[in-house]
Amino acid sequence: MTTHDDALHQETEQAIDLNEKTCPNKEDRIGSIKNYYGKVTQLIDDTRKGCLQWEDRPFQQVSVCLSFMGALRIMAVKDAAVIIHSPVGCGVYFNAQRELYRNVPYEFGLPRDMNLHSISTNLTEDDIVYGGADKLRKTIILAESRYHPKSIFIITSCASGIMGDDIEGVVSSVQSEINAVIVPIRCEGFRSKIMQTSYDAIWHAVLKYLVRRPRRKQVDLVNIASSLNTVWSERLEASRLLGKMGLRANLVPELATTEQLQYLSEAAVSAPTCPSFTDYLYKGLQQEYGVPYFRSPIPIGIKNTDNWLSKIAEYTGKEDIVEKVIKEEHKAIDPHIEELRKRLKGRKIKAVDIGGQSRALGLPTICAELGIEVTGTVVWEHDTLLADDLEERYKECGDFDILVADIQSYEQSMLLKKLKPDLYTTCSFLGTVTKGEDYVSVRHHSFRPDYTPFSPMLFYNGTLAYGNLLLRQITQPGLQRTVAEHTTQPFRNKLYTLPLPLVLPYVSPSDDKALRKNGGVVQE
Amino acid sequence: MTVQKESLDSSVVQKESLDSSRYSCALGGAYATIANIERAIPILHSGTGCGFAQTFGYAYAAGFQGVGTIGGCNTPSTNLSEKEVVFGGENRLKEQIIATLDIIDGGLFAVISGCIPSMIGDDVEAVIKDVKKENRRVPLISIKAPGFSGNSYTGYELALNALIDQFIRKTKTKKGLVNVLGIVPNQHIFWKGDIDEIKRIFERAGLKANVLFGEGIEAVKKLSSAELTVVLSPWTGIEPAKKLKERFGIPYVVFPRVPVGPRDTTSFLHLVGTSLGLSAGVLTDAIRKEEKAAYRQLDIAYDILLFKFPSLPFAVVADSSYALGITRFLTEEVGQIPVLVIITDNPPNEYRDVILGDLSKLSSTSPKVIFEADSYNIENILKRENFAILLGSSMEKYLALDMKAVYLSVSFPAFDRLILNSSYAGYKGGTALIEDIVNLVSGPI
Repeated sequence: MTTHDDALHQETEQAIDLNEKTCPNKEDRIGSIKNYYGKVTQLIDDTRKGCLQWEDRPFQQVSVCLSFMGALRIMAVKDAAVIIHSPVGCGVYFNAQRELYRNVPYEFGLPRDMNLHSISTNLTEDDIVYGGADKLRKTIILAESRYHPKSIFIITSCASGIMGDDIEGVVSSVQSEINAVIVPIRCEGFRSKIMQTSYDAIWHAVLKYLVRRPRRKQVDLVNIASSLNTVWSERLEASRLLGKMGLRANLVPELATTEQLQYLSEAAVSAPTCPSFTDYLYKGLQQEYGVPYFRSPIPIGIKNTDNWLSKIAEYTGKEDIVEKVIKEEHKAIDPHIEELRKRLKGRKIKAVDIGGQSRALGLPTICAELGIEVTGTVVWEHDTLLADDLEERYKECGDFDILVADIQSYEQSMLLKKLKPDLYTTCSFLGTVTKGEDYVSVRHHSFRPDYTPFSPMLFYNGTLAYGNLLLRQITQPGLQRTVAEHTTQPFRNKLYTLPLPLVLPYVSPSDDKALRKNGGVVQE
Repeated sequence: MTVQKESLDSSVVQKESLDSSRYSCALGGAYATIANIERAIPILHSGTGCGFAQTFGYAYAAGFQGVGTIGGCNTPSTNLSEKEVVFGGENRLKEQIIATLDIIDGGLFAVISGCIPSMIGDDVEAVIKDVKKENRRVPLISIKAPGFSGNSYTGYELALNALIDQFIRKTKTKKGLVNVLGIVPNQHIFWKGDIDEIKRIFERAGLKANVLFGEGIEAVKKLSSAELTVVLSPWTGIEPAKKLKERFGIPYVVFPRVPVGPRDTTSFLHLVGTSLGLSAGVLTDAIRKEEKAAYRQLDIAYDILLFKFPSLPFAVVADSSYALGITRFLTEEVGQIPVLVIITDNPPNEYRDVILGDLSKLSSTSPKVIFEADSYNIENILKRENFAILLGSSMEKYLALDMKAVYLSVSFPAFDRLILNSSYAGYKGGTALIEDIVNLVSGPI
């Protein structure tokens, strides 16, 4: 039942080798890059011709590392303990797991047996000298005796990687004393320049150490590895929509049990939410246990939600029911979407959307469906698997500029200066670029525990809620105007004369006029 | 009135693993210190995610401190990868510094080196020297703060030490100017409000406090102009205070806590006055007015306090300077009964007697005092205790609510409140603390 495109990908890629201690880096496996600027048509073309190149930026800003991303995604497995094998600062955010989701009311489905733990090996000077393996072993034993978890995830760090701690050796030597399944995740911050390699590293470890042969097939079970920052209301909506079709959503990893991860192999199908996040896991599940999957669409936007549900129905034999469900949903939502579209279209809005692959692919769809013109997108990383998805966006939105950057908030400032959009969908921690004077910044996603009707972006109600958010904020950008007026930006004006992306050996334009003359290409 | 010190293995400096830590690493402390000096630009020489982890885990966790102009994803960072781990990060650092100087407008640039450059042996000083050859006038300093070298308190000290050694020059002493050290940005979640209140009370007393933050790089330069340095912690800030003494001859004095409420604030001002050699009368007028206003507020709160807070047992989970300040105020002036104080900042052993001593001089029964940084242990210690009020980090919030206690976030991390002006320091801080506690239970009688 796989489509031609799916089959093509599966043929051209190498099999996942679970004998290896970790995955290959994304840049090696699927040619990921984090550096590109051009039209989307050009990027599609370059991708298909295989001429994506890698160059580093001489000026960089803070971005995300593999270790943080790894811990962030695995911190909320309901009956697990997470060990962050690092100095104390790498794991400082993960004290948040104690409160994450706790303000969700029980009547909104918060499980009462939530039992989250994170523990840092707290590497100090002595450990750096003598190695951290013993401390890791002790911490594993401590985690077992304290929390009695079903699984223990180990997150590695730059420090543990440079020391060369034999993590797998520790695991195999201590596993027999421990009831929990120990799952070491190789996510040293420096190992890959693509932070999303962390996703593959998590899933490699889950597939290698946790997932078991299916006890039986669960024909109504749909695996959904939820994209980062899937909010509570979206989790509820996934379950509601699948429930109407007589199916159950197996949402992982947040608030999943270890058992849910172990029996990902029993599902009828794996459905995508973010290509970058779900790709490796779903391939592994298909390869090892024959669980079929599809890559696209992701359920952002009305049409894509239709197609997402229909694809799930294909794999679960629910083709007749899905038509009825889609019809009912449309009956309820279409008048509101139409009304919203009228109001937004009248304003002739131009937008730049940014985000990881899920948002960077999903938001242009929402914009197109609501009558907003997309003039640019920024995606955190691009890879060779993305050409077809981008072509879909091109069909919906026409040609637009695309910048590939691992956040690099200054380059987003440069892009916005150039494209002059009305609307910029973003994240607040990007700082200066969110406080521009000439456009309206709107957040993509709310906090993960947000269960209110204002919070979703995924599915039908998410298109409506997010569209309404865009309309509200473009009508009333008062906060941003106030803040923009009363803050300064750290950049000198010459930033805006530099080529985008800034991948050349750094030459100040004042030092080298040739740089500008040649459109940013330095002549040898 | 003896202080019990539970013989958990926590009586020594915590070097073992930590469940849900209550501080960040040295890099985190140094980064926040520099980023909160206006027009100072941190350049992280570190992995890609160090700054990101500090944004979510250290700034947002401190009452949602936003990234502002230069924090978060604004911060320049070398984003070291495998290539640098193998071949060294010096070229990458040089490239990043030169680009940063060209693109970013700043008054002071600080290279903060994390774990990777320290482990691979980058010669950061040599790179800086090299850059300075061509950019002689650029104020560029190096702070070595590998995460494994200490916690965020020591990172604050490392940043101050580097500023004192590499940036601050001898200046003329200014009469009445007092450096106030020991308030660590983010780690002390009320740091901005506390600093404002300390500045205010110094002004009322005819003095001027140099609190380092909020007045830009000029305040940093003026650290050498002070007559006196006051450290508001039993230990954090003492090292840089010693350095100021060695380099510029500025004497220092330690007040081992953030003063909370009128009584403690007055004794704090007396200490400052005495250390400056002021005659007792100089401060009296200002103190009298401030005390009068604070006690009038307390009198207004008296009615509801008598109803709802009749000598209730309370517990505190906080770092040493706040635990001491808050415990003393609620005990000595508000008549509540301290049953348990958990000190979470892992103070070096030599300072622990000062902390214990400060809590043994209370008029009420003295609390059990436990040094503990591990959140699992903290939770278990709390579960064994009876208290009606818990003042702690927001990690204790749901435990307190389960135990039917009144709960307020007063220490790191505080994910459950936005902290802008809030402060429990000084004459105004005591009544603000009462307001915040009472507001949790206020309702019709």
